This record gives sequence, C-alpha cells and structure tokens, in this order.
Amino acid sequence: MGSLRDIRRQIGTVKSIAKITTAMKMVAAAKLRRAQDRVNAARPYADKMRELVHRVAPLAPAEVVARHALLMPREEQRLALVVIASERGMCGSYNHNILRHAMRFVAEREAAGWSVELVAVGRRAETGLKALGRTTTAFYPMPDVGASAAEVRVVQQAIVDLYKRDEAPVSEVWVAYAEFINAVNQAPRVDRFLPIEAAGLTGGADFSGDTRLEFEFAPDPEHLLDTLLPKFVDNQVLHYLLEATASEYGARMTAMSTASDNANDMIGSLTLQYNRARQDAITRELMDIVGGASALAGE
Amino acid sequence: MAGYFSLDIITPERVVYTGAVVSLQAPGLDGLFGVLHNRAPLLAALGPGQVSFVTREDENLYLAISGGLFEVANNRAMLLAEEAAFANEIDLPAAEARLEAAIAARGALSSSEAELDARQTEVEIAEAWVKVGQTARH
Repeated sequence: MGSLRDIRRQIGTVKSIAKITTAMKMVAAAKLRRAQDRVNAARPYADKMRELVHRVAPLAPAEVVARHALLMPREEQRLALVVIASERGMCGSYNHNILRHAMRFVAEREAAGWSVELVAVGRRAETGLKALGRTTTAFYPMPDVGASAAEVRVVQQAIVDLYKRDEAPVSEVWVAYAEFINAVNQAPRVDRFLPIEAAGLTGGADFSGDTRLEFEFAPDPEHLLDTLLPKFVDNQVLHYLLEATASEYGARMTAMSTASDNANDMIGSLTLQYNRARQDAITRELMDIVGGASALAGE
Repeated sequence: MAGYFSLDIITPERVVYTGAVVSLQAPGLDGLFGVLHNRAPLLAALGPGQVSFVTREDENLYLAISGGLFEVANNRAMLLAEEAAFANEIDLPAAEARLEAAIAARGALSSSEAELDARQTEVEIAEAWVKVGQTARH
C-alpha cells in the first residue's frame, strides 16, 4: 500500500480522467443525436428513390437494364472492399469489430481465388488494415456529422468510381461498415454494393400493370434509368456513411460511459484505501502517545 | 377557382418544402415544363436549373436545384433533388464565386469525357444558383 500522498495523487489523476471521459461521453451523445437526425432526415428521399427505381426498372426493356453499367456482372475475379471505420479512437471495440468482419470476408474470398483490393474510409480503417499487414489502394477521411454535402460527395464519388474506372476493373464492390441498431448495439456487416441486383430492382415492390400504363415518362424509361440509377447508387453510399457515423458515436458514447463508470469505481476503492491508510497512521500515533504516557506514569 | 395539388420537395438532407401549390415549372432534361391541377401522371428527370411555383396563398417561390426527379400522380407531386435552395437561402457572392470557379475549371484540359461532362454540369448548377439568388433581390 502506497503512502498517503501517493494515494491522494492517484485519486486526483483518476478524477481528472473521469472528468475527461464524462465530457467525451456528453459530446458523443450530442453527436449521436445529430447523426440520428441525419439518418431520419435522409429516409424520405431514400424511400422515394427506391420506389422510383422499382417502378421504372421493370418498364425498360430487360436487355437494356441488364446492359446498364451499374447492373452488369463482370468476369474478373477481382473485388474492391471499402472498409468504413472511424477517424479517431476512444470508441471501444467499434473499429476492431469492423476490421475483424472485413478480414473474415477477405479470407473467405481469397480462399475462393479472388483478389481483393482494399479501400479505407476513416483513419482507423487505414491504420488498422496496415497493422494487419494489408495495403490499401486509397484512403478517404470519414466525414463527420457536420460535414458539408460537398465533403460527403467526395467519398461518395470515390466509392462509385471504383466500379466505373477502366483500369484494373473490379467486378464487385463490397462495403464493410457497422449498421446502427441502437446506442449500445452496432452490427458490423459486409454488404455487396455493386453491381446492384437486377432481380432486386424488378421484383420486390409490387406495382400493378394499370398504374404503370398511366404514367408518362420524360425521357423514356430507358433513359430515365440512366439518371435514376446513379442517384440511387449515390444515395446508397450516403446511407452507409450515415449508418457508420451513427454507429461510431453510439459506440463512443458507450465506451466513454463505461470508462467513466470504471473511473468512479476506482475513485471509490482508492478513497477507501486512503481512509484506511489515514486511520492506520492515526492509530499508530495514538499508540505512540499512549505508550509514551504509560511509560511516564510507570516511573 | 384554380385547383391545386400537393407538393413535397425532398433532398437527402432535409424536406425542403411541403405544401399546396397551384402551378409549378421545372427544368426537365428536354426543356422546361409546367404542371397544373389534374396533371396526367408523369415521372420526369430534371436537369440543373430553376424550379418556380405558385403556392395556394398566391406566393411565388423560386428554388435552385442541382438536378433530380419529379413525379406527379393524383394531384400529389414529389420533387427529389440532391441539392436544393430557395432564393432567399442563397448566398449570392458565394454562388457567384462558385460559378467563376466552375467556369475556370471547365477551361482546363482533360482527356476524360466524363470529367468534361461533370464540369459542364457543375457550371450549370452554379448558374442556376446565381440566377435564383438574383431573383431574391427583386
């Protein structure tokens, strides 16, 4: 057991740590709220967009839909995996979980003879993949909650371009991110992003024949699809990014809340230790005095 | 009495407008088109430009959009745009700066057709913002 002064110093340190983690928890909670607002604000647009795609895709000639650049399956056994993690640490096992899921997916695909290209979004994805001995072909900072539409668009564009570029073409683009379930629960997932499942476009939503016929299209469904699909795809990326942001702040809030609890527990046990040590010292002094006094009385 | 229809304008960031309107003009890919009460169902792709509409309260509103989609059926209209701003929300000097930058960027050399298209679109978007921003002054 340390001296009184050591214990007191330790209590001081833990208290200031608790103060910091509590503040970080508050910040994370506020940002989580904003991130959730963004997710909710984006929903009407995303829903409508999906509905429109489902309405228009069945009307374009099937072979045109199949030939659309964003729907076409390709031959190459090459895929790109975009790993979306956070910019900074202090968010518990958030990044670790995403990386673990991503690497499990990579291992499976590589065992099946695919070559995998990795793209990192968020500094922690970059450093995490490096630490696992992987190289990334590109890195983009994770846009924060308050990021402007332009900042988000850079990342959006980069991810969509992975599929569109001509050199070293990939036949699939996958995204590893954490789906937001609630503040304490985030589910890491690896989803196929491109090509879009043509079956998912034409099936799914049920629009009966007569509603289709009523509509006038400008331009015709085939060309409308050229406008619609890229927007749909952009919006999907936005969805991944918003989910990831909400998950990140949820994870951070939980981590910081646990850290604050632990710090408070530690303050409790250190205070107990301190009081005990103080009582020991007092008892020892009393013993000395009593011993001295009785020695004098015995004379 | 002129009939009206409901209009929702939505971007990925927010719901920009919800209300009843009497008429609307929007920049279709093939040119400007107008919509009135009882319009036959239509689904149209929009280019960058100005959307103007008259509300039921007889107010003229101008909106700059970066391109999007417009759907109307059964007197319910919905406009989806990636970016949209009302005339009074536009910061005119910033919009003019953006236009200048876009025009300068368009002048630069590039071998990629997609790149050139993207720059042209950016110029058109910036032009729409400036144009709509100027209407706020009058």
